[in-house]
Amino acid sequence: MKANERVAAVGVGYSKTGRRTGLGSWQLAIQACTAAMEDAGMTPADIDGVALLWGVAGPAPGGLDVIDPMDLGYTLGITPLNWYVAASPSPAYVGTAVQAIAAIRSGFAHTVLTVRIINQRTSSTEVIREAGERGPEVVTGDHGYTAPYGFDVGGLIPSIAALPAQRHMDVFGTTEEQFGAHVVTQRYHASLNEDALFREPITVDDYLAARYISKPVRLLDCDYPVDSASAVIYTAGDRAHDWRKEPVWVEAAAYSSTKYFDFDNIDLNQNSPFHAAKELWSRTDLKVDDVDCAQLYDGFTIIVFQWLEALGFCKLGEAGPFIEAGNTRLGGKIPTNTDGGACNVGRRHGANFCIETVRQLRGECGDRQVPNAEVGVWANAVGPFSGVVLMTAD
Amino acid sequence: MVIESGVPGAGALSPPIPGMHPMHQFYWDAVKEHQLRLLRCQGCGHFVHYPRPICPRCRSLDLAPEAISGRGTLYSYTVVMQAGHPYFVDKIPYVIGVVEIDEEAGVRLPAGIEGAEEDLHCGAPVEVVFRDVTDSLVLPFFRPLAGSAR
Repeated sequence: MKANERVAAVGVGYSKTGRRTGLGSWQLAIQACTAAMEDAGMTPADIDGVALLWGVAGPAPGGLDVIDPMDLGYTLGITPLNWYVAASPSPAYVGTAVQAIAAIRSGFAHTVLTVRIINQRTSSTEVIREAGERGPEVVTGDHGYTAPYGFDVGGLIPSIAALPAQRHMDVFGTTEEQFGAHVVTQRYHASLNEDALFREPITVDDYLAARYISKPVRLLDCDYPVDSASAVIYTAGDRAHDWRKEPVWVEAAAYSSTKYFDFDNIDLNQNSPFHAAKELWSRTDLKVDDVDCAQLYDGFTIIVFQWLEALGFCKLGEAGPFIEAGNTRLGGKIPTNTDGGACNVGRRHGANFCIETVRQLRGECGDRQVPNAEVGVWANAVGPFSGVVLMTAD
Repeated sequence: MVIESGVPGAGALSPPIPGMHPMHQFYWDAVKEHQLRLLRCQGCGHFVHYPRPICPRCRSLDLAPEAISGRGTLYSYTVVMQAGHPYFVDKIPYVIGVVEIDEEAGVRLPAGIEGAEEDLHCGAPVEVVFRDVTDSLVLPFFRPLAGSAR
């Protein structure tokens, strides 16, 4: 079997995105895949692998609407498949991307369509009502140590966002105004992105006026749940120049798990992103100072802080002052989340950060373009599992 | 029960309940007796929490529950302001946190936290207190040790 030394991203696309679109997982997936193939100038016959990730694809009206990669491949006309995977649990879109990159590098496939579908209820009121209708809930195993206290019920905000954020404040002196500076910065970037759902600039005072979800995490620290699908097509190096646009190269990638979700023997603010980042830099001759733009998963604000520190854009514990000084703003030292992040473009579970990196390195970003962007890094997920990819322009 | 939020189903009488599981049963049996017991490796002395059938440090299979003091330090905490389950709709704001036990650095228990927010900070000494949450559910909570406010 012939291995492929290099892998490139050659097509990207989104579905229609919004709340209560009425679209199910299938419609969203087909829209995004079609858009990515159109972006690349590809037909299904050019593709031989499909990777997607189960998780929050569903429930659609009437029940779960989970898509198998084999079914998606067949339905799109990508048949037979040389390789496919539906990975869950894994660190969201980067899990799909890293596995697709690995499949191409190892020679199982030459061109892989990766898809992230999100189709979830947007209202915690609905979730609460349904839980109430179900009656007393029995939880098993490790969840028994948290759920009875109200950890991780109806979302992970208290445990994966608020606990590390509170500790970041107590240990490093990070302030709520510094969390706000990040939120304000990415909203400014969103104001320059026609596809963002929130585009009106805000101030730190606006941020501080937003209600808390779980202190110190405020509503504006949380990504925005939407119905969406995102697709990216990766291909082997010898095919990278066969398509409509310039390829964007995978320079290096890393994928990490330190353990599964719990609180033992792990520094909540120096978890798997630090391991993934260390591995990433060991797999390339490029250095952190070579990076022109960073797209760092913002499921919650604290995660961006952790990635800035993990990747070495600033020192441990110094993301707050680093952001407050304007370093992550367009025109700053390392423009970060130039599409506005998932808080503003809608929840994509990391795929928007890959797509924004590709578009920045192609020079397609218009008002929010980082001048002469040649190296971009994108990172996804948090805590005990994560992944990060370094990309370069052609 | 008056439910301010008007959310149908809110104000359930019980939070989620830990289910029976052979690997975890000793913990809940002890809690019912107002004791904290954690699985401890009889080879290297590491407390293995959450319980697992092998010690991740030395790979010994010889593990046994042992009582711990119930004292520790607060690793981190958060005041939860939005309920994600009907039971908690009329409980917010409530505090949860992670407690590092005095017996071994790095070994931490997630738990409910009692006490005024101004008395809480990372590193605060805390002690266990057992609460009857419902007629059939006892849970260990932690509260700041008297006089430990920052």
